[in-house]
Amino acid sequence: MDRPARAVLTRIALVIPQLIGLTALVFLLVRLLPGDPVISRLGGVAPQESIDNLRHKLGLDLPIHVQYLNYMKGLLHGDLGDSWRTAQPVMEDIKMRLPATLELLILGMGIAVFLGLLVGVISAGKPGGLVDRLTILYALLAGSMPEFYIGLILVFVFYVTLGVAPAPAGRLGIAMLPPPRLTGMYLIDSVMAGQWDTFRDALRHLALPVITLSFWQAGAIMKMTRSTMLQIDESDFINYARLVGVKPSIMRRYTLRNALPPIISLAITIFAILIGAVVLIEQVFSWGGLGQYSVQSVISADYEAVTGFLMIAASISLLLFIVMDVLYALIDPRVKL
Amino acid sequence: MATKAGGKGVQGIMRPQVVENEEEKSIHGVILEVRGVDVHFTTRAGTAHVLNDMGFACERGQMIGLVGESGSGKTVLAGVLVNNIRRPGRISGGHVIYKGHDLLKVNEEDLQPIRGREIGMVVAKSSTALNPLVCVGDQIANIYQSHFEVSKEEAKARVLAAIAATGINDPDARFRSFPHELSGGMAKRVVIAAALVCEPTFLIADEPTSGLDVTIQAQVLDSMMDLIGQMKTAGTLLMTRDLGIIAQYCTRVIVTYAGQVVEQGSVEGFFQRPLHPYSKLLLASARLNTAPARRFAKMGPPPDKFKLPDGCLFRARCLVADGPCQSDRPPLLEVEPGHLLRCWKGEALS
Amino acid sequence: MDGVKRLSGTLGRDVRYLVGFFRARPLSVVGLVLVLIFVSLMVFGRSLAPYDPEKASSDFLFPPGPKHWMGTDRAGLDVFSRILVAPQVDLTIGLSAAALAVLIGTPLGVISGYMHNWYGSTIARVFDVLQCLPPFVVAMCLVAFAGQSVSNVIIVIALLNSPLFVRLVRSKVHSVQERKFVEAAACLGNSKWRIMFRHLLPNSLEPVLIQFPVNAGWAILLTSGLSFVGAGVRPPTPEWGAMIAVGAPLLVTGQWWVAMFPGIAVGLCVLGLALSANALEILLDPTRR
Repeated sequence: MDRPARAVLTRIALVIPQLIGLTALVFLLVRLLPGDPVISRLGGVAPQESIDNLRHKLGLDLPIHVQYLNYMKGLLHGDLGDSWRTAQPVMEDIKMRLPATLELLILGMGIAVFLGLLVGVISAGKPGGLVDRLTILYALLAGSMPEFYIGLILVFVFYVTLGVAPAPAGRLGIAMLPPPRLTGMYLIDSVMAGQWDTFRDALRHLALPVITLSFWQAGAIMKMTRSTMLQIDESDFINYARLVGVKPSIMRRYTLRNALPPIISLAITIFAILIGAVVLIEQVFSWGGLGQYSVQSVISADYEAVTGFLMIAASISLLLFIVMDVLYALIDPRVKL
Repeated sequence: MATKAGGKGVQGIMRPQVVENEEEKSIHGVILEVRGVDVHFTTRAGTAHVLNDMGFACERGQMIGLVGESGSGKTVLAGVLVNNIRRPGRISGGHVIYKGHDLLKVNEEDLQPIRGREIGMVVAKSSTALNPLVCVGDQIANIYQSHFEVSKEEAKARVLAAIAATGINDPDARFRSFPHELSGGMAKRVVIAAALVCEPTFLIADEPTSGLDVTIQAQVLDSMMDLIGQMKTAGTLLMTRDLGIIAQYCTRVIVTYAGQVVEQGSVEGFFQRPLHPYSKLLLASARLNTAPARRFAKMGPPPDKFKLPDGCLFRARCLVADGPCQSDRPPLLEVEPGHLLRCWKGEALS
Repeated sequence: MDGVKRLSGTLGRDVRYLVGFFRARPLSVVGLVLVLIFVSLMVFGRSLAPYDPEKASSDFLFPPGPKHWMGTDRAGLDVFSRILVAPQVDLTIGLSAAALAVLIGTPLGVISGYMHNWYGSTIARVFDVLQCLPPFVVAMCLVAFAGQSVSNVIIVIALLNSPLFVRLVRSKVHSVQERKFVEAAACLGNSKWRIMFRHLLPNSLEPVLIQFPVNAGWAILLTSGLSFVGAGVRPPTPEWGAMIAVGAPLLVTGQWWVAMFPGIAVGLCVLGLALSANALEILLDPTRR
């Protein structure tokens, strides 16, 4: 069997046990947290009967491995239980809010990668030059600040002071209705429905949170791209290729190919970081996505919702890391399968 | 002091003016000529002078063995010959004349067709010279296709032939191998195949056998010499620390010290009668644990490249250095036909 | 005179090297100065603060002026004083969490790097899975449910950061164990544990030392984030993230100073740590001297 097929298959084979481990871990984590969900919901003065009833209703009187198996059975049917706070099935809650968060993540990630690669390559072309020095400074400063603070600065400058950005109060203006739901992402849906006003409004509201996300981490991508390109430029094999007269187009291909592994791995790591950061950004901009949902769930001790959110978020991360492993194995023949 | 004034003597470094006469060159059969090359490296610790007034010429049919200690600038010289010295190094003076053109004045775009095709290179660090992410066959094919407009299939066929010619047993399997899967000797052979697949006119072999087991060394060298013989390679520069290799394979010897040529001559002449004190020490200490070898070992390192001394660069280790050696740097002169020497005491010694 | 001359054998060279190092790298100096400032504040901040950072006053929402250099918030608390005292919480949490993460992660990393049996790879697999959990949300949960105290925040952040050190040490151990002295130690009959902790560990510490300040910086960012959503340390403890949270709604009404200044403080503190880590990286790398 050739290498690409083997790489994919071995990684996929690992997914199942890792997913099981992950779900068990999340389940245990939430179930073992101090604090009793029943008492925190009913209050300390509730009669014992009500407490026992609720406990039985929530299935919390069963042994933990039975609880886990029941949960997994539900999971496989797409049932993550019901949210205590919203009284809706957790799966529905998540489905409603996931697109909003994804829209932020995809745009934020896309711009961060684009800017990072572009500026990184330019910096590497002239090491020690002005662009280079500014890039390093920018990367250091941006990465040292909390992401929510950057969001607040942008709100203060562009909304409060300059008045060019809309209020940080959600995905659309008050008077605007969301477009008919196809994907849940307003940019796509409004284009598909031909609602250009909605599109513009959604874009205006997306601007600041997306800029916050991307500018926060673009610096890290810039730095990594720059140092990778420089390293390759000074490497023995590039020097050798030049010594023996390899065509410039082939040399460029070599450079790109060798730069991919560390950049891909960084990009995926940053995506995982952004998944965590988007929670705080959604708070600042009242986004109404999964991030805000998770915060509200934790604060109201909504264990089902928290479990559901962690399951989804952790599974996405796991898949991302597996994709990264596969890509790495495909590009770099030295990686053992 | 015997000097060859004027520009007729082909190895005479004392030339009054630059001769770019193509005709004259081909009459005398000089393929590559290096004149007065200075290379320095600018670092935080200061400026290191790696090559100082380096010069020699290679005629058609010659196999020149260049001897130098580690760190004497052999690899830098290899880079100079194809004008590939980059930050923090700089070529500050001199000429590298190949087929009538001074390569040091040719721009990067025009150098590409010469590198690898006209002037081939076997590099010293063969395992790191290969791109770890591309299979070695493709890498050699890329080199070939950078110089010849051929189809992928034909390139692959040529590469397979080149790999087989270096004595590798299963060319097909090796074609698809990646650099990390190859042993040191295998990697060396791949680099040799890459150097010879384009059938270069001039070949530079930088330490082609360092780091190899003694048994493999002989095999690799023999395969390389066979290939050179078969192809149209007109001249070879073999850089090594191993005098034995030079004795066995080369026709001429160049001895370098501190980035300069100190002696140059035919192999027979050199081994029978070395003239420079350094050459004598080298030959005497070829036998380990003898008195000369031990004396040599006690002498300390070559001069500090950051602060080259006045006068002769070898005087710190020289047994016969005196007056003029301390103050003036000796020029490279032809003391016998075909035998050059850079030493004030040359006459007395010869 | 003579003693000084003798001392300046290698000491002189080292000092001269350091002076040259810092002269050539102004950013490193900035980093170290910043760290020194904030560490001093961590210790002396409370005595330097002009006002009591936790006592409300009647000077509501004063803009920055001669009486309150960085203004006051809605409860009349002096922003400047609170910023000076906040390192006591933030930097303590940051440094302790990072230190604890090192203490947990390093030994596990050594074991998992050297023991090629099920023991070692299990540790690696477990931590691989752990790193899939979104750290902020998990931290939020753990702190919210376990109780919002400084020690809980430290423990939670340390646990979340230890996988990084496990991985870091593990890969360093992989390369160190190839070196000859390890082989020699094994040949001499050293037990596995002795090899791991007497030989491998000290030689694998370099990446840990470099990562430590960076990690402390992340811990501070995480702490401020937790406080921002109300899941970190409880008010009125002065903490930069909590101060930003208080100031956030005030931004819209134009009272920018309550949120802006604490943010700059966090940024400078984390920046100082990052720059120090960079300096350490170059200092510890013998090839870059």
